[in-house]
Amino acid sequence: MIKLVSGDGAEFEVEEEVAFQSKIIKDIVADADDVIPLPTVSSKVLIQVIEYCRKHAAVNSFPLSPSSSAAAAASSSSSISYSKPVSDPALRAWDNEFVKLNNSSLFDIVIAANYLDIEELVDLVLETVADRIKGKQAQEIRRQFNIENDFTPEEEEALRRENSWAFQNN
Amino acid sequence: MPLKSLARELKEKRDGGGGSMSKRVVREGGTHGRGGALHPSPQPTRLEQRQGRWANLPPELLLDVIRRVEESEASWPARRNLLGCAAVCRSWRGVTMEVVKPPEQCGRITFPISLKQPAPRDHPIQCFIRRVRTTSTFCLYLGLSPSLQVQNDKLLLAARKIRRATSIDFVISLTADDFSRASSSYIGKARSNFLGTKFTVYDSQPPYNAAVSSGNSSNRRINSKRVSPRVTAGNYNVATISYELNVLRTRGPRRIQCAMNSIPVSSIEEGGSVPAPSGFIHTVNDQPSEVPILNDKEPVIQFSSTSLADSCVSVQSSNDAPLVLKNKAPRWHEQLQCWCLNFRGRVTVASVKNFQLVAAVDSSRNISLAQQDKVILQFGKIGKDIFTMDYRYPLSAFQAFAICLTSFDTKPACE
Repeated sequence: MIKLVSGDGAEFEVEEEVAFQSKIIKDIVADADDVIPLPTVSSKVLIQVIEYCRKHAAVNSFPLSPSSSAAAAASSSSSISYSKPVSDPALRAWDNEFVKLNNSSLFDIVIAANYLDIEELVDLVLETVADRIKGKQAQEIRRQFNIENDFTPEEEEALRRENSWAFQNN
Repeated sequence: MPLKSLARELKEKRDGGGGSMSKRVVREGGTHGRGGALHPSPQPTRLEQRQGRWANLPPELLLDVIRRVEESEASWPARRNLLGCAAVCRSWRGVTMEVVKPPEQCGRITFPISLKQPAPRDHPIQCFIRRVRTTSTFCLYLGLSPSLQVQNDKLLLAARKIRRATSIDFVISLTADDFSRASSSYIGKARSNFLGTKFTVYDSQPPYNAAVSSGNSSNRRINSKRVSPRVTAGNYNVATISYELNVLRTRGPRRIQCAMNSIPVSSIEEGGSVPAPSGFIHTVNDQPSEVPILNDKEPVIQFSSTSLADSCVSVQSSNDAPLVLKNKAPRWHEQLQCWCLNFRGRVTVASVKNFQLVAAVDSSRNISLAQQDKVILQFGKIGKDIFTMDYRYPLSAFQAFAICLTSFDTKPACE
């Protein structure tokens, strides 16, 4: 068992294969029974991340078939790091439920997942964010993700021009 | 295990090549990235949390998000999503501009600035032009031909033919409902001589990236002896198109010659490149919205070869001449009793307006025969008031459209 300690001091004991969904933990853990402090991750986020890792550890420990793992190896060697979809439909459905969170929670999770180097989870969240951006104009993206508009009035004028060109009706 | 020893161990592993680094590039000094893995980052304050932490998403993650948007939306109108991303805030714009490559590299038109950047070298960008006779307007759309869902055709540029006392003007705009010279959507024009045998194409902005940023550009303009602030209202002579008088034959193919003043002939040599603007947003101050409209007597900026050399020393020698395009000579087809060109299925209606342009080069230039044979711009009729326009490097959509427009003007002297 590996003990993870969140930034607010909560301790979580998890099995090795769950913790090893994080490449960084896998790299630094020499022995079992290690205690790993994760000062930037709150217990709320860590609970969610462990939930994800537990699910994926269970599925990943039984690879579907040699061909699918070969495909995964091929895609991971390509230059695009994220073109590796989760192949198990049940797991994909579970993932889709998992990311039904507000944007603020998603942000915490992606930061934690990036920090812990859980590649599949980073991919999952970023794909979700990309989907939430699609079909929206800048103003709506700003509102949804709480981003401030920091353009000067002159730049805004140029942006309006770009926008009217892109959205004009023929 | 205390944190310090963890971090030390991690460092050793990484230095020894044992540690796997994330494929997403780690930002230098990033607080969240794995460069400082397992180092505590300052806890974000509550204020920061409320004021949009998404604006501070580590750049490598934002890059990943925008890349996903870019790759899933190759065609219009979904391509609009990228304009949304680019208009969110400065950091998002920076990342979007990094992800979206210019048309020469990706073959896609995304931003209006793409219209003034060259097309890919290997394959043409295919467009069509719709002529509306009642309003004397010409609309350039992206695509092979009009689609069944007209609203999905992406309007790239529009032009209106305006008859003046001594000339014909084609005013070129980003929108089909505003052809005012003072409008922010005005991007250039083609103007004929009295006979309609010669046209000059004017670009509203410098055809290369003279203005690196809005701050620098104003300094540059004032300091430069050649470019006075007054002239930046936008009359940059980028091309001259001549239709040769056809004195002996009354009917037959006409000859077209285009001197592309802003494109050096070296651009089509091996490894050559063409100077092109990289952003509208930096040249927002150049827009003529507050500048009085120039009258015809106003001097225009001529792009001599030396001025190009100034702007782009690395790719051009000082004696580099502008690229000249000429129309490919049609062959006389004995059986059909007409002049023929192979348009590879893109032109279906015989018309005096149809043409193919290739580079006119002299033998002293190091330009391959394959390049000399490459059709850089092809224009032709496919239906009543519908024409195709396929253009290729080093032309931009704006330059190609301007050249095609001149073919619409009737030239009795050339027929």
